[in-house]
Amino acid sequence: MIIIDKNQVKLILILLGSSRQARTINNRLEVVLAGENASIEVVGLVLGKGDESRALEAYITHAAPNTKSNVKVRAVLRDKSTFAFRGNVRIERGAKGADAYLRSDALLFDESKMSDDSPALEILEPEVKAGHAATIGKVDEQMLFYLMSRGLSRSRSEKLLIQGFINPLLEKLKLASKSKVKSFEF
Amino acid sequence: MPNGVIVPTDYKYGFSKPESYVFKAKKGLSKSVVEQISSMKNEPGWMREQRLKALEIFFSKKMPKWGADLYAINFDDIYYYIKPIDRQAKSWDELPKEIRETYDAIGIPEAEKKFLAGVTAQYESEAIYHSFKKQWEDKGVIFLDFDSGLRQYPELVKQYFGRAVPAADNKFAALNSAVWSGGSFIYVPKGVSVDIPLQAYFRINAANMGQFERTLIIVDEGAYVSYIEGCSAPVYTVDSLHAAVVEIFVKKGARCRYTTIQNWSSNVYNLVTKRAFVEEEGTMEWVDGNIGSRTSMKYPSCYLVGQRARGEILSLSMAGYGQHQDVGGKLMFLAPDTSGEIISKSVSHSSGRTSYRGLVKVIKGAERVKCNVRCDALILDEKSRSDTYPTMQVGEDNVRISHEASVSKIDADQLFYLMSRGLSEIEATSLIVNGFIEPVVRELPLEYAVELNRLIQLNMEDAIG
Repeated sequence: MIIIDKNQVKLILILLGSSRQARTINNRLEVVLAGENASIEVVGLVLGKGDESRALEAYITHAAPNTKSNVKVRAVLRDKSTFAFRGNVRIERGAKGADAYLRSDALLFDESKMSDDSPALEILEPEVKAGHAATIGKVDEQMLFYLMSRGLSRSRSEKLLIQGFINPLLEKLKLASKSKVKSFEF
Repeated sequence: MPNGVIVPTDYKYGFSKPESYVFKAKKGLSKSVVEQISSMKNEPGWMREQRLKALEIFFSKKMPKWGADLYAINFDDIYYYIKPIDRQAKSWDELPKEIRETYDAIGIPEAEKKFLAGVTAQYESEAIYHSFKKQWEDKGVIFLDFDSGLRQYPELVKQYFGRAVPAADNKFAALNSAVWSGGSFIYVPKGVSVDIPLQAYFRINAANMGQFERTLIIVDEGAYVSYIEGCSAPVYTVDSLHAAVVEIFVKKGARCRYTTIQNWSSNVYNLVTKRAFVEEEGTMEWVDGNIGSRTSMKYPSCYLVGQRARGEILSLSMAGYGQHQDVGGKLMFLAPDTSGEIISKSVSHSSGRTSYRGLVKVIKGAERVKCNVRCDALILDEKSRSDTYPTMQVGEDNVRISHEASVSKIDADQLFYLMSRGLSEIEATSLIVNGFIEPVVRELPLEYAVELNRLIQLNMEDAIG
């Protein structure tokens, strides 16, 4: 469990999918925002191929006022890979001014599966901002069509769209690995 | 408040009439009680068998480990069958005076006079009042209470009973299958469109009494029907249990809309299994409003089994003091080109708790599925709680699934603006809440929308006043 104290700001980076890793990985992340103004950002990038099965669990608890959490997970799944994401953001009573956002997006190809996607919220305090969103699907056919109408092959167009999909997160990962922010690589 | 029994003193429909029952099974559940119910109803052998089988399943199943807290249900302290009058009344005037008064208080005759065509009024465990417009009967539409349906159309009932919701589905479906009584049976023949909603009122009126109605709706190819079920129960001090089962079959190209406004008094456990099977190009729409009850667990679901079938779930829930609304919906995409939408609006106040719980499942091969889920929650005060538990399981890549949720409180600027225009805090809050739930309310028939607006005002008086 990671405890974030008063005024602390933390960025947690998760990259599931580099070729060095074992095929089946389960990851569980527990964060408690324990002090005022504590802030956590979780950036997760998940790449699956072959018959890899990946899972990520993120449990965030806001236990103090003006705490902030932002969880962004993006997954690109190919072949027969599967990914399961379970997120839970809980805002305890009294954590006034908490700001929580939980988001997961998945791009599916071939016979891949989003076996489970559960971004849950538990809110016990009204003075908060909380939201979550999730999307699951293929690359946008219209965008694909547009690129292909400009002369790109289907696979090239798909690659471009995937790049566009993961780039915002990839940038964060790159940036962080240069700075002193602690980065977790599973 | 004593014993955690939570009843606002100004609960509008909180009246109860002296009990005048012809038959009351003894408390508790056993094989003999089930047999007694079956023989009271003069049922065919197969139904009796089904009941007894379901009873065994009920005893063998454990209570659900997820969802709302059901610890206080005592299955031995419930009457499983009460029959209020000997035979069915054909007209309003034939009904016993007390029962008539109860209905007058919630305005059924008025509503009927205006534009409701058929009314099945369920008082206690039996449908006692039944009227039906002749024009539909001529078209071959069947709208009966379930017991009459079973008597008059045994083959049709046998063919579909338990096919969408088998007794083994969950503990409360098993309970219902064992002790069910009352409910509605509807059959709409091919190509027939029933323009005016069919309507049934359900009530619980005996302390400790469970209500286990069973509803079966079959909408044949190309047909359309809208069914409305409203509940408004008197207040009692002992916990009651309501475990209903609704099964719907939407055939090719047919459309069905099922509207519920549930306003059980705040000591009722409302545990309902509602499921629709939708065939090719069919559409199922659930409009599900949960205002009352102590605890609700209800997830209307659409099993989209035919190509291009569509399922829509509009869910509205409101939880005040001592209430937990654990509601939502389930969309199962089992065929290509199916689509669906869930919209959920929940409001929690006065230490109430609302939980949205939903499942979106796409199986492999269900290509080009489109699904959108949106849940918004409003929390009015610091003691209340709001949860969102969405689950998506997607086994097909060629799909488009999205989910979005937000939790907010009443905007202080909006409140200030309205109050600066001369509205009281209660009025302003009701107005904002009514605006928040409007996307669901606008799908309701007028008289329900009006009643709902009044109920919200009433709730806000509790919450703020």
